[in-house]
Amino acid sequence: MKRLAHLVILLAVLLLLPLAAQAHKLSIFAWPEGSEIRGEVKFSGGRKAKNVQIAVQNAADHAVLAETACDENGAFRFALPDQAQQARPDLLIVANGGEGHRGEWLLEATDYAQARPVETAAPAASAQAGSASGAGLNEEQIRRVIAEEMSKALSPIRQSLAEHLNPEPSLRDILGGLGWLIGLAGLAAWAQSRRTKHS
Amino acid sequence: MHISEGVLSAPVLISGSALAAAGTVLGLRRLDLESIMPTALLSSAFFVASLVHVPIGPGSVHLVLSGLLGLTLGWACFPAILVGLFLQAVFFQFGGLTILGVNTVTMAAPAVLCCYLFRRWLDKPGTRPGAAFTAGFLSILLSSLLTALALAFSDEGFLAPAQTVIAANVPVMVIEGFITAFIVGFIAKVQPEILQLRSAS
Repeated sequence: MKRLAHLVILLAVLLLLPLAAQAHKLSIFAWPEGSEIRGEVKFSGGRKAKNVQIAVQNAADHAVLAETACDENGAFRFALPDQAQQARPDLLIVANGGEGHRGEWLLEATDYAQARPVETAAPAASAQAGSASGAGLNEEQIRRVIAEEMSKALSPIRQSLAEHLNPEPSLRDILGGLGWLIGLAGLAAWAQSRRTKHS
Repeated sequence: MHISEGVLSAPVLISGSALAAAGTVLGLRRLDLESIMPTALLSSAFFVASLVHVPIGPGSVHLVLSGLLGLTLGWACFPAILVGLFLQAVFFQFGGLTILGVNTVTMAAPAVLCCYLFRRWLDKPGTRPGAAFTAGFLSILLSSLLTALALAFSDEGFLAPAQTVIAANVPVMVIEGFITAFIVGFIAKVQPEILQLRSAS
């Protein structure tokens, strides 16, 4: 009985350790801001990754569209090259932390294109509008300014939304895993006892 | 210690899975009614140990406890680590499902080796802490080397990743050594059947 109590204490200590501590996984997330795309790289547990290489790929054919690296705080930003802005592919943003650490984030065209149509459409539209009517030009400009400001204002919200898609392991996850292990042990014990009964 | 998904090439993934499957079959054969519960208990310890972050050194590293599993379970540490890694991949998104085999081999193979090398020194209380410390230390060192080797076969070169992986894990080696020595001493005191010690302690 005393031994059992000791084991329970040991298990409890092992269980409580992770509540105070954290773990590692390279997670990356990105969101559009104005004409740029911003992002952050961090190890799970909140430790910022430093100087990690970032490659921006076309999600369809994995062609590299742009390359950058994050700064000391794990933040990065880049502007898409003109060609990609025209084609608007889904972007697969890959962080390679070395040592086998790798994280990726899919930024779909519909997510970042919202911030963009005014940008790419503007030169053509304003040229048209300029020849057609003066009022249209102003409207285009106003639209563009509003879109840019909105995008900037929404940036922190987009950031925290993206962060929430990379949840930290919670107590529920830990207890769920332990439950599975106990269940598997029970299954194995049952199989063993059947085998010994039959033989 | 966990390699992420999408880093390694297919041949490395396949051979890793094959080796892990072989080790798991060997380990499962040695499981009997007596050792099922200790195995599950140590697998649980392995599962949560990865959440214990060691905030020293250049990288982001965590406890592994593979040395402890090797010493106490022998070949049975293969299924224990495989299941632990599977649950980590599903619940914590550490590592990944396609890379399960490679990660199992890099952590379990050094553990089994440490079992063969140091298991016999656990019988005597005098040599026990030293043997357990060395097993904990060495299993992480060898795991780092295997991780670097797996990366080398998929184009990152060997020396550079080996150096960074080992450098990042030096604090873990020392801490694992102490923790393995402490837990082995504790188990020997309160539940020596788990260790199956040959002489009374």
